[in-house]
Amino acid sequence: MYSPAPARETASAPANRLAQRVGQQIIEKISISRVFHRFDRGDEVPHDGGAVAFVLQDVSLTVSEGEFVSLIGPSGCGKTTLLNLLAGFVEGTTGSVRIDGREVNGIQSRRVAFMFAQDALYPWRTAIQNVTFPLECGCGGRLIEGKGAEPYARELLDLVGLGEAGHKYPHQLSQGMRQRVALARMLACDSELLLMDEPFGALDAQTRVLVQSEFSRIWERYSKTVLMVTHDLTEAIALSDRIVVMSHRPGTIKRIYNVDIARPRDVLALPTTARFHELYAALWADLRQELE
Amino acid sequence: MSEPAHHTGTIGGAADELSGAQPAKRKRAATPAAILATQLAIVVVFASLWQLGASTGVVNTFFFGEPAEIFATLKEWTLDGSLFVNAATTLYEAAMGFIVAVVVAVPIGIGLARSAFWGRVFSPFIDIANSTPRFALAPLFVLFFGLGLVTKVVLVFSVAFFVMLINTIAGASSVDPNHIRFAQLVGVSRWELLSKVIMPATTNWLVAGMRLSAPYSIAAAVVGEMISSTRGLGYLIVKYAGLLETSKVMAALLFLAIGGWCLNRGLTWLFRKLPWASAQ
Repeated sequence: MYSPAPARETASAPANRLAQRVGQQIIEKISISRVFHRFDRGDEVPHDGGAVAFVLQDVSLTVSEGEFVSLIGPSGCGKTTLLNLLAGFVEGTTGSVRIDGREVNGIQSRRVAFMFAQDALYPWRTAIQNVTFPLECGCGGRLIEGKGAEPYARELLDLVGLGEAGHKYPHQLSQGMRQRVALARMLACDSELLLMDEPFGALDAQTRVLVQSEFSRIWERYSKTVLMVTHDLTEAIALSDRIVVMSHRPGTIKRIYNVDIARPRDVLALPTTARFHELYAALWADLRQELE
Repeated sequence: MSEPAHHTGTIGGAADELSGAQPAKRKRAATPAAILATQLAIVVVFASLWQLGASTGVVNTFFFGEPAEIFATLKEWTLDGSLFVNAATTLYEAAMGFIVAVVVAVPIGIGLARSAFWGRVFSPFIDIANSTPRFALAPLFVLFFGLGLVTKVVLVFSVAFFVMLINTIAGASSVDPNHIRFAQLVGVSRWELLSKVIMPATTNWLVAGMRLSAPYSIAAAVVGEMISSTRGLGYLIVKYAGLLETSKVMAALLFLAIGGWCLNRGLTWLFRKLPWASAQ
């Protein structure tokens, strides 16, 4: 039987492994401590049977620098809300949310990069202009005006396999290509923390595997800190160092799993391994209880 | 060996008849040239029947005029230049009011859309003002601004402003929140958020508002001229209606109708020139 990690650990085994490898101290990137969050009055689900309904209840989580953590759980359990709290799109009702030791207070401009479930590309900009957008605005400490940002944007599009599609508008691209442009745009932000909300959820099964493989390759190259929301257990196991299982609303952290599978990982071959099946079964058993 | 081939050929022939030949006919019938020819034919048939009715006394020319006289009037006005002078006057008044309305309505609309508080405060006032028939205000505008150009420009403004304002508010309110959030995360300034995200995202709504308000602007200028003017297409309509020369009234109306249609087509073309228009 697979034994999960304790629910409130402060540093993960893969992060320890990473720290040992590079001979550095573990640096805490994200620190979420005893966060409660409820919808404001007038929001979607303000009350549950007359009592105040919390979407997040007593959530604590620490993510180390360079770590890849996935959040899974039933719909409406507060996974996206947690990302929104970190980006500063919403404020926690109580508790502490910190990035690099600094309390999150308002939108985290130029500190985090966000990839939305729907690509959120600007339809009036070509693929390459979408990628240059963060650079034009000085994201990543580089303000590049006019056409100056294009060579770098082209490099990023090459990285996601879209070097030839730079001149096309989003509506001229398939959903898979759009997600890859969104990926390149997120990388253009050059932020050390990537927040990804079901980034590959809109893709068909075949395209999803391809984009996951590309992203895995890119992440292993840059080792950014990633917090990703997903409903796809295979994706979570293939990409993550740790997987956080959240309970049904009010969202709490039910269990945290260490994914002790060596990298680089082959996204296609991974589901054939015994370790994958063991993890998958344990995750599914946990998740199933929440869905019933 | 030959029987199946023959059989297959029969099925294929039947399929051609059913699915190949008929759609091919439909495709030929739907070509732009065919559509234009049909439209012209409708105009010619309508004008011919009208003319025939007028000539035989079935159609009362006192009330409806007659096509031959309408076209003769248009030719006469074109040759003596009066058509262009009067059309230019109407167009100038309409354009002035329209441009001022766009310039004033767009920033106010964006401001109201971006401010939840002020948007809600002004919402009922905008609805009430928009429900007021602005043409009914024309006599008041004459009282306020006299008989000159300003009255017509203000009347056009009052009509075009609310169409543009409501479209701008709707457009700026419907910007994808994730478009704004991403821009804020990359650290845009207020001006960059406006110029690089909100304005481009609202452009389609603005063009739609312009397409809607442009014909109204022409109509408002004409109404203004009908009340007080010595030039313009509205003036021509009032003048010849007073002289009971229906064909000349019809000539001015026909020119206005065709001019309004051209304006709408021009703005539609402008809309299609937007590179992302087909994404909407």
